[in-house]
Amino acid sequence: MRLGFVILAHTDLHRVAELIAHLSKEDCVVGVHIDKKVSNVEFDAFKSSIQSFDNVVLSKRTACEWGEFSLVRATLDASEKLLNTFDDISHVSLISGSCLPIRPVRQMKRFLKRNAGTDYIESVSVENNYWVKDGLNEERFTFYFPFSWRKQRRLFDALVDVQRWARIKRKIPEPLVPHIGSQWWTLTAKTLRTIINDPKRPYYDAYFSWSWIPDESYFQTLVRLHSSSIESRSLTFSKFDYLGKPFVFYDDHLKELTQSDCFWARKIWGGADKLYSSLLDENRANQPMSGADPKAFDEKFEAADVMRCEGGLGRFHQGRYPYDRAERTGVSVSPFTVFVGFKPIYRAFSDWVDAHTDGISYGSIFARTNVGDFDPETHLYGNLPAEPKVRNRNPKGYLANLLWGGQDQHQNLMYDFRDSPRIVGTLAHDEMAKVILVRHSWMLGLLHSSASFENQLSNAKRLQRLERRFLAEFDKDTSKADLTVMDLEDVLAHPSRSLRAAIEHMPKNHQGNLNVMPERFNTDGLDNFAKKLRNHGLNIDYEPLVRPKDNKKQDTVFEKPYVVK
Amino acid sequence: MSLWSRYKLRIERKRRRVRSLRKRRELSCVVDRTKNIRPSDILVFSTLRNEKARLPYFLDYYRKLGVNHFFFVDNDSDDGGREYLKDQPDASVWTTTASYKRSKFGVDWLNGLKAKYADGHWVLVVDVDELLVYPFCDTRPLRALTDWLDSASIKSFGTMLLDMYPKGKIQHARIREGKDPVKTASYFDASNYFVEKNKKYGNLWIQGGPRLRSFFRDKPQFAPALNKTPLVKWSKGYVYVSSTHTLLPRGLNQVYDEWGGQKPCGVLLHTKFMNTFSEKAEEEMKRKQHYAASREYRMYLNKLNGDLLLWNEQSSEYKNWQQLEQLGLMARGNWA
Repeated sequence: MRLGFVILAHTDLHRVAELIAHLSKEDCVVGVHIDKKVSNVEFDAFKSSIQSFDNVVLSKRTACEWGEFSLVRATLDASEKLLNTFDDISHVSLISGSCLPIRPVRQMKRFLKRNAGTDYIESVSVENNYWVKDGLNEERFTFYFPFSWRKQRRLFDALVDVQRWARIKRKIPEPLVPHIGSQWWTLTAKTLRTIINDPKRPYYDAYFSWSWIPDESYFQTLVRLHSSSIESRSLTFSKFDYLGKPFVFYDDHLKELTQSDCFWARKIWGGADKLYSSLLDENRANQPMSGADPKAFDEKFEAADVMRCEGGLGRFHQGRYPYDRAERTGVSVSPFTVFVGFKPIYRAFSDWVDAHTDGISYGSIFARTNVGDFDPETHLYGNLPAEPKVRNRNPKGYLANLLWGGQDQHQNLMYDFRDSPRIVGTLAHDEMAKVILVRHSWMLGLLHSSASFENQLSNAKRLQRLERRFLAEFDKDTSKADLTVMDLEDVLAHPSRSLRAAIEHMPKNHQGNLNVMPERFNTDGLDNFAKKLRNHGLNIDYEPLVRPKDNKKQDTVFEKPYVVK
Repeated sequence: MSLWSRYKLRIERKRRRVRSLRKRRELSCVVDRTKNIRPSDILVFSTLRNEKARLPYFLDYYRKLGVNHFFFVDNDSDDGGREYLKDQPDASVWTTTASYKRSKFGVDWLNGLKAKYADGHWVLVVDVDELLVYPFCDTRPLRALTDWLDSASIKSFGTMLLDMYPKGKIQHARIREGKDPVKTASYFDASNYFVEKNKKYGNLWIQGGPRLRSFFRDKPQFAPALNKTPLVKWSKGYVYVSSTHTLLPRGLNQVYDEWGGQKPCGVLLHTKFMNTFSEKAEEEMKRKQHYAASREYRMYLNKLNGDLLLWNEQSSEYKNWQQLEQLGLMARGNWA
């Protein structure tokens, strides 16, 4: 019993020669197809480098174009020549010039001996299956594809559109049932012979030469006619990224490659010296299948696609700067809270939140003249200066830099309508933001100012306008933040309940057990102030609640703010 | 983008190209080994002035990454650096006494040389105080990256300039010949970078780091740009517009993802802030040959009296590329 290999190669021929040398040591026979596009100089050098091996045959060179029948032709030619030259072959494996054995060839031989009659070829029925990652599925078989996808892209695309429009449906020759799968297979010599010697082959070839990517369907379809035992999997590991480009393996993949349950891997980078020397080491020990974890290995590459398409939330750098209307434009990787309008109600609210939740409170990061309570000379996480001028230059970027540092914890900040309005859009469009707003709380801030009523009135108009704008930003369809609006009258009448609601989504809060209440500013005269503002033409829907009697107990707690249990 | 503005950019590109060919005449060749260059070689282009102490490590670093040939434009060095480079078997050297400033800070000279020698090559344009770090740079040579970019039909690779600084005062951090400067200046700012988009050229404009917080606190808009696109599959019509921040045609500046994902990108470790910075500051103030009227040097001398400590408790110590990736300063994208 001998194992045969068909190698399709078009580049890095010195690596192909290394591979052939290895296979010949392992007593395998090889049929090689070198792409016609390889220069004659290179080809001759390659030819002389493998001259000493008597187990190698070179087949007629075809210029191969990706996605076209030429690849199948090359495979057929090389297989035919291989089978005709050596008659003691038991199995033939189709590999590429950039494949390497993950497991020793003798281990593969033993495996095939145990499963003597089985053909290993991924062969999935086209109907109802979505094996194809990106692009055409059934249409591969029913349209005509005379143009090269690489060189004549526009014609290619145009013709597909025309055929869709014209509802072209080529007849699939009886008795073929279209199947599709990985290009790389291991077939028994018997099956491969019957495929090659099928009297109807010219007819099939003619059909497939007009279809799209026949190298993933020719053998996969024909094997269903001729094989008695198919295991629909490839013994060569290859994985495609989201654009349909194969992942490449490098030296640093060496340890992980055996996680795969395959015997070969594609594709290996030509410069991966360490992979070549260790995987082609004839003393390499068997790599037991029990150590394989194909799922983990698969996931590693799927994770790379996710990284590319969805990764990096909360960070902007030379590889990432999402459009305003793109997904994942946010400034934070983890949920954070913005308390809007709590500052005029409670003294040191930030400290209170800090004491009652397990998170970081930054205070009023966007206050006009300062960044939180930080001295402008200080540096926050990652050397972010607490300098308002730096912050005002790029508020969104500033917040992103800040929140990156505490991403493992729940972060929160305060915002008031007097603060820089340039951050509002960013907050509203951030899916990680939880915004808790107390409506009309700015009235309390005005109530305590010593300014004249005219002044207060004009400020009230301004703040109300800012509040409306703030809310309007969250009303937009594009807004992704989670907004909770509380009414001032509610917050004043039911302080414990509303405070509990405000921090309920934050981790490790003292549920139902607010030992210390934040100190509240004096609210005397608020009702009259609101009435006065309304009488001067402001549309304020603040209705002081009549306190129900049974709620009295809660308020006693509140009136003595620092009661510790 | 309107046809008219596209046309204007085209004219700008042509104008800069012609200018670079004119400026190329200011260079006189010291040693020309360009005939050794093979078609697939990776080339480094660099201008320098009095940087001899940095050269051995610089050459060593990039040779190890697999760079095949170095192009140097020496702007009138008098520290023996030119002679040192002349003896390097893989370097071609030009020299000039012409104005650095009037060649757009060396951009014209290098554009001129690239137009002649770099067509079809992967080209890395870095200063001698910039060390390229990219995903997997410890296990995969630069050619692994360029091969991958080729296979994905990507023509340029973006990096951020990461200003490195020592723990003590910068004038005490000596550059020692042949030694890794990052071992001495091993600190950086982890989260102090601000990104905007330049609508005209389509590149990102990144500012931040220690220079923003020390020199430009009051005027952050003047902080130096940190975005760089140093690695490009060069083609004859390409030009760098300003330093390596911006390229034309503008498609080359599109090194970042705009749909909520991230493309592979790297970092240039910038080891400028060592003893040579303070030594150079005075000379450069006299020469007045640096960008934006040498604002950086001026700030340094006037405000800090040549006594500069960039380090503080919030600084991070550099470990490896994985650390930078974790900090979200660079990304591997789908290069698994």
